[in-house]
Amino acid sequence: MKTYKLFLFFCVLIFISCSEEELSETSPFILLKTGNEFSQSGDSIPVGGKIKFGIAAVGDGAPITNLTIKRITENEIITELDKGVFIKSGGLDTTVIFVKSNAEIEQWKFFIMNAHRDTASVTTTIYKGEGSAWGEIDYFPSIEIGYQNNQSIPNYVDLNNGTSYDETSVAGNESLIDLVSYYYMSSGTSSPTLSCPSYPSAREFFPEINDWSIQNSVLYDYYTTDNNLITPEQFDDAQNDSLLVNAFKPSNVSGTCKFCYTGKIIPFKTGKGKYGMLKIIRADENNTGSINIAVKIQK
Amino acid sequence: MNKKIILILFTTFFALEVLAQSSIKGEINNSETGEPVPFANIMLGDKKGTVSNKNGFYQIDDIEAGEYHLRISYVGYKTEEQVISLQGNETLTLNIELKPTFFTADEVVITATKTENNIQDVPARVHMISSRQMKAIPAQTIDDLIANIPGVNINRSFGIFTHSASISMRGLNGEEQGRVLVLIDGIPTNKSDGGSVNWNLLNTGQVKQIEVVKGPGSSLYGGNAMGGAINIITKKPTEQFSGRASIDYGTYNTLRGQLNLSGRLSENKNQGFYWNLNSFYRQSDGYITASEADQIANPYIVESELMEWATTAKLGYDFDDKNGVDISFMYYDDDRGTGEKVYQPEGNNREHDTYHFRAKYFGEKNNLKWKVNLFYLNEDYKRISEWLKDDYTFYKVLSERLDLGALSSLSYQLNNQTVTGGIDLKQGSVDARDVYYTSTDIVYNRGKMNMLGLFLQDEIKLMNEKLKIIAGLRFDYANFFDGGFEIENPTAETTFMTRYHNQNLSEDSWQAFSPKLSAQYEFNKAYRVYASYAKGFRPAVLDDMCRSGRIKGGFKVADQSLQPEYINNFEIGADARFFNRLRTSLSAYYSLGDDFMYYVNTGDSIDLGYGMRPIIKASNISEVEIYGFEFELNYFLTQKIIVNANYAYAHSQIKNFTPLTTNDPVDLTNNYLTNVPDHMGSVSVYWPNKIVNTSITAKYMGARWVNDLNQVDEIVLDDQYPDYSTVDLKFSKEFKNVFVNLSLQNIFDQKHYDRKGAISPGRFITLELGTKF
Repeated sequence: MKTYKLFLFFCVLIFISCSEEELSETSPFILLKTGNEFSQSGDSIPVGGKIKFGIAAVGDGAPITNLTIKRITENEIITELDKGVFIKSGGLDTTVIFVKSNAEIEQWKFFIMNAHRDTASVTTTIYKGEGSAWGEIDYFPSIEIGYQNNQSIPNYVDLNNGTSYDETSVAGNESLIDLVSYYYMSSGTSSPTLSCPSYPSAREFFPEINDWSIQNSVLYDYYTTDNNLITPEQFDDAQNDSLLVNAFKPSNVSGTCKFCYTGKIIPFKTGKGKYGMLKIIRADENNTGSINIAVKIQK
Repeated sequence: MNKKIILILFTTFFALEVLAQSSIKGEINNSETGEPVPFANIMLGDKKGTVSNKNGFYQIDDIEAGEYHLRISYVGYKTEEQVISLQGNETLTLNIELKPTFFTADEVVITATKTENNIQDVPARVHMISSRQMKAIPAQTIDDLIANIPGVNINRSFGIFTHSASISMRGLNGEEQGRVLVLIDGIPTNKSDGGSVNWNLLNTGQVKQIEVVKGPGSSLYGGNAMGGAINIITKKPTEQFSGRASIDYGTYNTLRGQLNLSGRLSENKNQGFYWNLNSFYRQSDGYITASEADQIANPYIVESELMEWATTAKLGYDFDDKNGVDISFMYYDDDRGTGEKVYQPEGNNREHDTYHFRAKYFGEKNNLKWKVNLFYLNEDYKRISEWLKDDYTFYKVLSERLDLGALSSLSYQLNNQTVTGGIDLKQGSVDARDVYYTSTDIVYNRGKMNMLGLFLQDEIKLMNEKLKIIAGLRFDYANFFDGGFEIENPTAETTFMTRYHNQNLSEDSWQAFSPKLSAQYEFNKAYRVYASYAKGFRPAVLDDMCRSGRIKGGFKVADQSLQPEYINNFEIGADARFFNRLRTSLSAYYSLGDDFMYYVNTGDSIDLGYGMRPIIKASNISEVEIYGFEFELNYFLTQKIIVNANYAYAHSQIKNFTPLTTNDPVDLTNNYLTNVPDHMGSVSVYWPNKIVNTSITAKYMGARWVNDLNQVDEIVLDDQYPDYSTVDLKFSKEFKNVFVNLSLQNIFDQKHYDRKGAISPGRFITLELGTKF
């Protein structure tokens, strides 16, 4: 009996003496939500149709620092999202929306990492369904936007309905604003620039944005723009959202797009997940000037 | 019986001998202030000597009757000499007043020739900052002590908050430390990784003197000694026990504590064990360094805080006054914020976890002198970077930089000639990685370089020692090996670098010859002229040879084939003293640089994840022409008021620029080197007195070109940084064992900006209270 008690005592001693690190290694965890509103593994979705995933994740002892989503088809691996984050408590709970490609089978991989560089992942498979589900788009043929030192032309734009606001009318409508524009010299090169309220450099030229409680983000595909991968004619011919979705390359995007000269075509995606494209009709190259754009965006 | 007689006679003889011994004692005091002069050297003839204690008191016993030459000397004071006569069994009390001298031309330096010479006997422009001069300078850092030397360009944009300061000289680029060699007690501290030096390592309280030698010193020291060499010499204990403790407080809630303890285990200052322990700690709340535009755009801007501390321990043994060994160990750690904090507890910051180990063995026998140094310098550098733009990015740079080696020199003096030679062995290495915490990327870079140097120098005195000629030559060979650049689990952050992934970078080697020939003619103690030619070089750094990555303006690719850059320097100079109150010096130089390293466009582009950017690399592609002159005067306005004025002019221009590709639109020919002030000057007045010692210094820094293209910079909004002036004041007072110092740097709060628009700290005031024991 005494021997047994002694043995138990030493077990407890060893258990207690284990360091906190030994007892609680971080093990992040990720899962995809179930439910009718979310796409499930094995679903068939027609090309152009919406794929909607609900993601829940925990860092388990360390903040979540990365969320990566990859679409893997027979021909390619596309990183749809690779986002640095810092979610300290409460975990990650988010919904992401994509558009079904033409691939027969798409394997989707969802990956998280925490601040200790521990990782977790989950995968799901989506099949191509019958028919096509490309959606309708809105078209705004001409929106004039003033640069930072131009107070006579509105400076703030709502891309969803093509409405522009000046510094007076924007009051109370800050949460609708997706786009601002400014002009500056970038390493000696003239740069008419498109940006969004959440991007730091936009706040440098429009400091009043610092006081907005909601600062929307837009991601511009600068690679497609810089390399002129979409022509103005293709933009003009687009009647549904297929070009808007397919032209957008998520691996080369930023909240600001430099060198937006006259004639450039720029695919974009809003923070709420809407794909769009805009054409530069005219871009002045001085900071008291303005820029005129045409916009096509998913309804 | 006979034995008893012998014993009695012996005892009597011995007693008489003892009774016939004399002593000399007294006090050594400052002739101006009356304060005691501790640690002054007192030599009686050739064989007896001592050192004054902390109260200035000295005593020498067991002196036989006779006539002796008494010599009292101490750094910062005019040497006193007199002949004394001692009768048997006499105690002579002799109090000596030493006249302080601010001038250091008669002081002995070793850096210029690796042998001991008076400054005035070295055919080069040499400056020495003595302890006495240091007391008059309101210095927060070691480089502050050097700032008043003509032509020395200190690049420390953020004062004590700067994590990487640099010093340049003689018209060379102000941001490149690798063109000036920095030594601590003769040990090179420029890191092989990037050529940089951590100027925050040492506390000003540890320094005995600083020797600055201008012009190429590669014939003795090898690489990095292009513009010159700076040797920081630390203190050596001379008393059985002494200490100094102080605390100071100042601007931006800056607090510093310093402690220095030292001692010798025997009374004989030339023999026995000695030790020294030095420690300092500093912390500060800092200030916001970011420009106003950045503060508006970035809600994560915070003050750049700092914390640093260091401990140095030294242990030595003197066999006699000419032979000894010592070892020292230093540990330094700091944490300097860079003014941005998003989510990490300390925000963006830099840390330098540094270990230095040095050992020295020196000796002298007959006409032969030798010195061997071993060193091991390890710096663990950590940089935390985070920012929030499109998304959150957080990564750490972890870099271990190691330099170790052995240096030797042997000097032989024969009549009027001294021949010095030696062998240096050194290995530098870097093992670094960038670890991302918001993606899976890890980028590794590593590399090593072995270096061998052989040097020989001959110093000859002719014409009754009026003419001195120094000729020297050094051969250096280096081999780069064990290099690698690897990317693990790349994502959009680093996938563009994968084409440069290489686990085994190619090996390469280079060699350099560095000659020197200089001569001076001394008309008399008041006038001398000198002329010299010397060649110097800067080796490529490991960072350029094994690390590719983003830099300002594009993407840098590593190049193992980088060769050293060279400079040929021609110089003339003259010194003159007038009426024993005025000393002037003038130097003029002309330098031609070859194979200067520049970052140039390769003609290719790469998408860095936010757009196409040019691919650039460091290349040996340009010839540079530099000329200038420096003038300095020191004047005793009265017996007590000393005025120093100096001016330096430098013209630094690229004479021939050869781009890597024919379609590179950039041509830097005839452009000026960046960050080289065309005009620099200062005027200082030092007034030691019994009430409060006072010094005032006004400095002028001329305009400097911002970028290599010499074009208007989009942030600075000009092609040159504007010129500016500052005024510093220092007041100090000692009451017995207590001292008080009030330092006011930049009292008119002159602010200036770097090329990112970041702002300097402006006025900086500290009050120090301490005690000596």
